[in-house]
Amino acid sequence: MAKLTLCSDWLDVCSGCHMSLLDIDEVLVALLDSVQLLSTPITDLKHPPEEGADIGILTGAVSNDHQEAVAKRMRERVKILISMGDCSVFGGICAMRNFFDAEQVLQYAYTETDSTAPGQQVPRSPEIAKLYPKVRPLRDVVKVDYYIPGCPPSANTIAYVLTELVAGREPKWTDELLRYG
Amino acid sequence: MPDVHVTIDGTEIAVPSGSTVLEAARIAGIEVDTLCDHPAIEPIGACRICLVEVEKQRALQPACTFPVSDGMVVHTRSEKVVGARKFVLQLLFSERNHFCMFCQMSGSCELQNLAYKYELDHWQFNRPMPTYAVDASREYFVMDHNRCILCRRCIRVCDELVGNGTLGLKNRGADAVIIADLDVPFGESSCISCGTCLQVCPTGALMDRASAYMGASDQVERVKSRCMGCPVGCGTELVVRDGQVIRVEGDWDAEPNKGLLCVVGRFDPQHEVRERVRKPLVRQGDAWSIADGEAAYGLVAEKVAAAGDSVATVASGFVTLEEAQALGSAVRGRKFYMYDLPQTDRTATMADLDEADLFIVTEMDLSLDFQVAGMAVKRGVRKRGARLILVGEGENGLADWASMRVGRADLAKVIAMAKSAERPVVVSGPAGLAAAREIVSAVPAASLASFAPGGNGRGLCDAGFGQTYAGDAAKVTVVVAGETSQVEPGLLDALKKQEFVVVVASYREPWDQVADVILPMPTAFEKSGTTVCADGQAGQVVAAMSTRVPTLEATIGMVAEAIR
Amino acid sequence: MGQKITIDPVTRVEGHARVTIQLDDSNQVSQTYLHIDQFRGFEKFSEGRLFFEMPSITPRICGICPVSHHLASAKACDVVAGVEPPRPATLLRQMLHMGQIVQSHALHFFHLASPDLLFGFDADPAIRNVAGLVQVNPDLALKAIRLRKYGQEVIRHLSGRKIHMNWAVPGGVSAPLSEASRDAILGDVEEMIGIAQAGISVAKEWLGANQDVVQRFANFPSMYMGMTNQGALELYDGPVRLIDAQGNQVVEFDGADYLDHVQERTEDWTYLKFPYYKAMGWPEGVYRVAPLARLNIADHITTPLANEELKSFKALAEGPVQATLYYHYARLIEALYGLEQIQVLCHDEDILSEDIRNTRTHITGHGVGVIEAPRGTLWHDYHTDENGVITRVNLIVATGNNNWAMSNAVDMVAKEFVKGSDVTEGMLNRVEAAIRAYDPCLSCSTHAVGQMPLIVEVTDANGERLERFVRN
Repeated sequence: MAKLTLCSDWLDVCSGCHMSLLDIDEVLVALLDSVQLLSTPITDLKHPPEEGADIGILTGAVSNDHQEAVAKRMRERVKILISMGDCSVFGGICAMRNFFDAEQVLQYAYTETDSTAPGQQVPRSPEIAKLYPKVRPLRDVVKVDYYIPGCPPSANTIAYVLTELVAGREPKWTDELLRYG
Repeated sequence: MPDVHVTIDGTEIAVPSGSTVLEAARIAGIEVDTLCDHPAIEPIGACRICLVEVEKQRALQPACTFPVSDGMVVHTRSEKVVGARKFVLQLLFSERNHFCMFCQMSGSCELQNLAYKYELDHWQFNRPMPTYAVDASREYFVMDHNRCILCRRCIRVCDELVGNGTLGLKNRGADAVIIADLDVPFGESSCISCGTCLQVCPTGALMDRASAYMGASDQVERVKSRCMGCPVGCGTELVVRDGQVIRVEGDWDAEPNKGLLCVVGRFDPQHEVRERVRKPLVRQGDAWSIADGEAAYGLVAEKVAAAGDSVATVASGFVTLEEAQALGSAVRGRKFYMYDLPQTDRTATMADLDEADLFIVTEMDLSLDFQVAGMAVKRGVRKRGARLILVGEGENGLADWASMRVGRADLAKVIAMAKSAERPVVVSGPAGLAAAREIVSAVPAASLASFAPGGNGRGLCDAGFGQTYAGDAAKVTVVVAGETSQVEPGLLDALKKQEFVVVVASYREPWDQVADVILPMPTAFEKSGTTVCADGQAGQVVAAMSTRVPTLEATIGMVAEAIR
Repeated sequence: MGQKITIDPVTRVEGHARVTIQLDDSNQVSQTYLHIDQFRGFEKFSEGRLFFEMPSITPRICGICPVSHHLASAKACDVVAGVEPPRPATLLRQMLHMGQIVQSHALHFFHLASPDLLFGFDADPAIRNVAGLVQVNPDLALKAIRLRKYGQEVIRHLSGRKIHMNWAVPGGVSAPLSEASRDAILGDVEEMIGIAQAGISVAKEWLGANQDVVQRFANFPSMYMGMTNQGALELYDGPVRLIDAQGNQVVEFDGADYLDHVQERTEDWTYLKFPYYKAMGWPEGVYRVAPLARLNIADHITTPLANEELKSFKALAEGPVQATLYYHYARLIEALYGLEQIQVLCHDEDILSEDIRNTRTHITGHGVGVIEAPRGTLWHDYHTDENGVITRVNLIVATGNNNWAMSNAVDMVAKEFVKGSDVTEGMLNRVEAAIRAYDPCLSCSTHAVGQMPLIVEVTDANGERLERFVRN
């Protein structure tokens, strides 16, 4: 039987969700019997292939234009999209910036902190992403098929959901697996 | 009235008329999920989590407030109900700002637990993310409005149980916000830091400063014990993480407090700033040095042996019956209680306070001392329409509840009013006893609820320590202080005049002003024993922490050993 | 203006990073830029929260080294709360830190760096990764996984979680170490020391056999900053020292006084600021941090095996060791030190103590916490009001200190290896290797499995695409 193909990427993140994915250790090896990893931040491929993939995992909130583009491209190219981690599912810690004006946050960081030299400016080059006024969860920009909250979700939870999906079963939340924070 | 017959989830059952659907379900052994409900207070149907299907009703009904009627058929877990509950949870999460990842309540949160139970793995609605303040003006705990679900348990306990009525609500609907008094910072309000609201808050809105992040509910144990701070004798639940008491809560099942505590029992022990004594300390001039056991116990033994009968032993309110017995067998000379004695003509109990229609409090401020008794007075005034007369001059924290304040000279007026009451109760401390007795002797229906300082005063009086210490001259004075913090200045003055003072204490202060030797003593969290409250009930203090500090019995043993 | 080469993405930085290489009219590299592409705003959005929440908020800055932030935050909170933790709590926090040093450094060297060293920069990308390592050297690959797991387990034994824990609190920690956990940690440490030493052998062998590359590859003099305790390598607590390119001390200061010594500059083309030594100004005041810097500053290590390796390291150069690729060796020496230090801590008489929190607090209104994160000196600086509500935050996050160095390294490697618009795969890999050597925070394990296609576009001055090179 042909292996399922899996891609993942990260948006506005700390990378803890991908580290937790790595913490599934030997389960990953077992999964690799039925899953081929394509583009992920923890492999060398960077973009889901144009011919598409079976499963996509996105972590992180959507906070700027580059991230939205990555999210949309992933959604286009995968059959099943998983929103993983509190930031992706809820907005998470990244959404804390929503209580402030985005420009205010930028000005503080780049011109007002105690260690910033006088006369500095907020970076505005077209080479770097433009911040959106508000940080949003993934489901606000693309349709999501499955959610795995957690900050990060535990390795057990990640292993469970992936194993179920790969086996063609619907994951069911049971005690201990569904956790926020 | 005859019982009512209802069917809940297919189970037929008879329940008392006037029961709510929730009460009926519990009688049938069926738990209906709730959030704003709490057994100690009246239900208000605020959260809508307990919505159930009642046949023939047009809409789902809140089980906590909906009264049963004969022949009612109820479904508590139908598809419609489960869907409604999920919907309510979605609304609750989307209304304000719930960031579980850094909330110290995560893992112990009733809202979160319901979300897990109903398998909410994402939130459906766009969140407006309104900005809410964090009010950190209180000393012991903090209010984060972002996490508040407006269950109003805090308002209700402050009103119904504590009788303080500090908390309220301003604005309406989505703009509603919990406020204190007329919307002042909580730390500047009439809040008395009893912490009852903190204890009942189902989310992380109210955060205890001392125990924040110290352990979620699956990481802690709970030990039922008794507070020894005063003779009210509140039942406590000590929350323990890996051998440390991280928080003190009131035991809802315990008499006489039924879950209430005051700042003295709940917060003071967790905010102790004095230096803990774990090894014997010996004075050398103005300095103190940590002595090894032999030197310290040897010194005490030498003095005690030489003193013969000229020994005065003073027990504080923190001494248990068992400790008192050990002391009694070991010491010679005279035995004293540190404070004024509990009185034998006490005829009213804490339960009587909850029946009174008139309170007369003589020369005592129940907002400072015996505060849980003060709460009974306040809630009587607030909820039952009982009246309060304060006898005495000066500031009094219960003045706002009093319908009358009179001076000591105006007792006749008070007596006249008391005679027209059905169940008048006179409450006094040592200072107001004379006035209290005058009233009680003139008013046949009046009973006396007198309080003397110290948790186990009654027990100690019965155990041979039935004399108030007044600076009895002795060659050796032994003060068994435990964690006592409040002492009359007179006591320290009297002790300063004594020849040789040994204090067995948990903390160094204030004893380093007067002692020659300080020996360590376990706190009430670290020992087990019996304490007798003002009502005369024996309660069990249970050790929630182990310690290497020797028990009083062991200390006595070591001194005895050194004497030999 | 000549052509621009864009490398998108660069892997292993927080969020997304890109490199643009500007060519002049004669197709020589004139300027290279490392654009860090993410910004979240922790310093601002923490305002209004309680100071004691910061050890829970700030680890979310990074999921690879949350422990660094957790501990730096707790140390800052200690000062805000006017309280010093009891000795056992400090020991426990140190052990958490050592667990992190081990797992983070292991992850980086074995999963990321070693494939380049074992297969070569120009090797087929299909095998130049951990999967290839498993095939060619399964023994080493298995050891690598076990070493990272060990570090994570130390963290879990102490704090209950591997990533984003609630454990350190103002005044101490919330739970002691159980005897069973201490025994489990101690039980495996010898084996782990062996693995670290195996890694060191791999590194030394490669570095010794490839001196021509090592000396040409982003080899530049710089100042160095890091903690030291009277000349000993120090990662948890100690004064911060700055030395010059000759190895002479420029200044040593209490981390709490960092504002007198460190200042930050912005550039329009990246979200990551550039810290530098204030007294010398920009750009004279630039410096490097993290393992290479810390070992250049230290003259000894308190644990014996790591100290022996330090001597070998010092012998590589007269004065400070400057060549970027020696970061890999320095990183492993620190991992070895971390393991030995875990052993030392396990044997301390206070390590099982239950005296783990000093609760006598009063709000002072300000606190700075400093620590040596795996990737460099990390500062957390909090101001609060009298109730402990955060009013102002400043963070200087480890990798940021190396921002100039990474930019410089990328520029040097591009200038050394990029010839005209004849882009080769090996060149791309070398540019990445230059960044990779600094282990920038968020080191995702690229090269774990599979290959790394990069899309490189060569555009003309009008932005028209001339060539598109896809490495698959």
